[in-house]
Amino acid sequence: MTKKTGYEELEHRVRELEKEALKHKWAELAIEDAREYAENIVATVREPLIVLDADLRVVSANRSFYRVFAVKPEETEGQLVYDLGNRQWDIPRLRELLEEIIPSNSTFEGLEVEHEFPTLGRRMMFLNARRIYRAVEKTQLILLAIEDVTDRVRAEQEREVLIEELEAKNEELERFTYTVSHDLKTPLITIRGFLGLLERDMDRGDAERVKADMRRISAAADKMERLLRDLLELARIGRVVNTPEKVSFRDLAQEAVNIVEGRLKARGVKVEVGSGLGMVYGDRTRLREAVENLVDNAAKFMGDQPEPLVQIGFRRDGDEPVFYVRDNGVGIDSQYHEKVFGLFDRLHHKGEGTGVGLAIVKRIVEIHGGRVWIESKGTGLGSTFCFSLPEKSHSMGKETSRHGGRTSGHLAS
Amino acid sequence: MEGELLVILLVEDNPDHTELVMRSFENHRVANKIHHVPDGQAALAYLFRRGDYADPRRSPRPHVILLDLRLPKVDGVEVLKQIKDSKDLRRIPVVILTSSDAEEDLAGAYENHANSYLVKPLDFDKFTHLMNDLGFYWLAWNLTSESRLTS
Repeated sequence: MTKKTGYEELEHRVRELEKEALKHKWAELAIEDAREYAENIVATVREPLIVLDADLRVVSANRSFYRVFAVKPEETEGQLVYDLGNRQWDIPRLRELLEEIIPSNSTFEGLEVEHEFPTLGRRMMFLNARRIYRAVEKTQLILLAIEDVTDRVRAEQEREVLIEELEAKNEELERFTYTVSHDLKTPLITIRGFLGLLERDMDRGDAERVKADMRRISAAADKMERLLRDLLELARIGRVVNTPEKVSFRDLAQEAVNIVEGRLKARGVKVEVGSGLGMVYGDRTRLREAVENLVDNAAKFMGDQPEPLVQIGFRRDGDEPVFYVRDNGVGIDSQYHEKVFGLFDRLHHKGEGTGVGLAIVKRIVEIHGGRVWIESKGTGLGSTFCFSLPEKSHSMGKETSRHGGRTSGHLAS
Repeated sequence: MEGELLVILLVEDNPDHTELVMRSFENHRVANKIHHVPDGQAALAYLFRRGDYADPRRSPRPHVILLDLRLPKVDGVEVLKQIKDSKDLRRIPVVILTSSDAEEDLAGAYENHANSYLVKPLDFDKFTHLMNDLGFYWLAWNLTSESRLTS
């Protein structure tokens, strides 16, 4: 074993140092790489990211953050997170969670924050946060990621509303089909039944009965025809909407009365079209049709009224404009006030009504964004059919609802 | 029960169908008396002897009830329920007359203890057979010979 000379000793040391230096160099480069890698990720990520120190002051933020919240680094760096913007992050729940992160090394994901942001307006954000521990610099940092989910949430809500509407429509269609098939079957039964009796009556040579049977059969066939026609009309209302226009309700009422004149004369019904009827906005033809159906209905149910009178008028319930068609006929018991607008739900099956008229009125009024209801003190006391129609233009279709905002989240550790 | 008058309560809202039933019974000359009510509310008033029907002479107890399912004011199924819930009335056979052999109608009727189901238009032969099944054997005694040949 040779003892190292002083020079060899030195050389050895130098080589050792060089190795150390090289290791350090590699370490530094590795750190540089890592930092550059991280910075590139942070800079490229489309979501706003913000880094806070242990005192919850902003260390840095990425470009997305500055872009989305329309702020500058000078306004942001060094600020307490709660002081940013219009104090949009100063929320008790967020404070709670953020202040837990460093001491407990906790994280949170999906914290909902809904707020009126200075340049953005009302938005909903989801927040994620976790701790970054830097061993070398012995500092703790918090990385906070922010995602604007407002549009996505809104779209989901609208989708749910649409699905609900679709399901309701489907149910309505099923009920409709069932009801229609029954109500068409009824006159068919009459026809078949009386054809059987007709044969018998002919065999017996009972001419009077034969004629009576044939009249019944014919009336039943007419009934089917009217039913089909009305049903088609009901189906058409939902689909074909003429260009809405401003129209004088008085004109509409007058036209409707003229059309129904036949029945009015037959029953001796007097009609008064009131004053102050104003303008309405909507599908002229359909609105007139609604009034026609109401006046026709009123005339049909005059009962024993010796001086039948129908009044078409207008009144204001607070700030709601209400049109009405009032009659002094048989009236309607309050328990049936909803039922009468249902398809085929008639109270008296004797009339020639197809049971679709009022359903048509309801559909027309609702498509215009209004509502229809009955005021009647009961049997024998007349009825007032009321409906509201918007004065201003109304998008003739559905309206989606909006949910309120809330703040919630969960802590994951 | 031989030779006794068959009392039938017909609960039917459609005037044409009512006429069809009346004529069917008329043609076959079964000794019967048909009492007709046009809706569910009147049917219950008749059976429970309320209001206009308080006088038992106006509302004799029927041997059988012919009940349409779809009725104004009070629905057929509701009438059926009330009949079968009543200790007094539940032994009266109820025959549902309906235009539909739709499943829901059928299930609802039997669930509420309807005795039987006849689809309109009423086939009188089917009715007689049904009455036989329900124990009204004496009905056959009242049929004319021509009907007996065809049944």
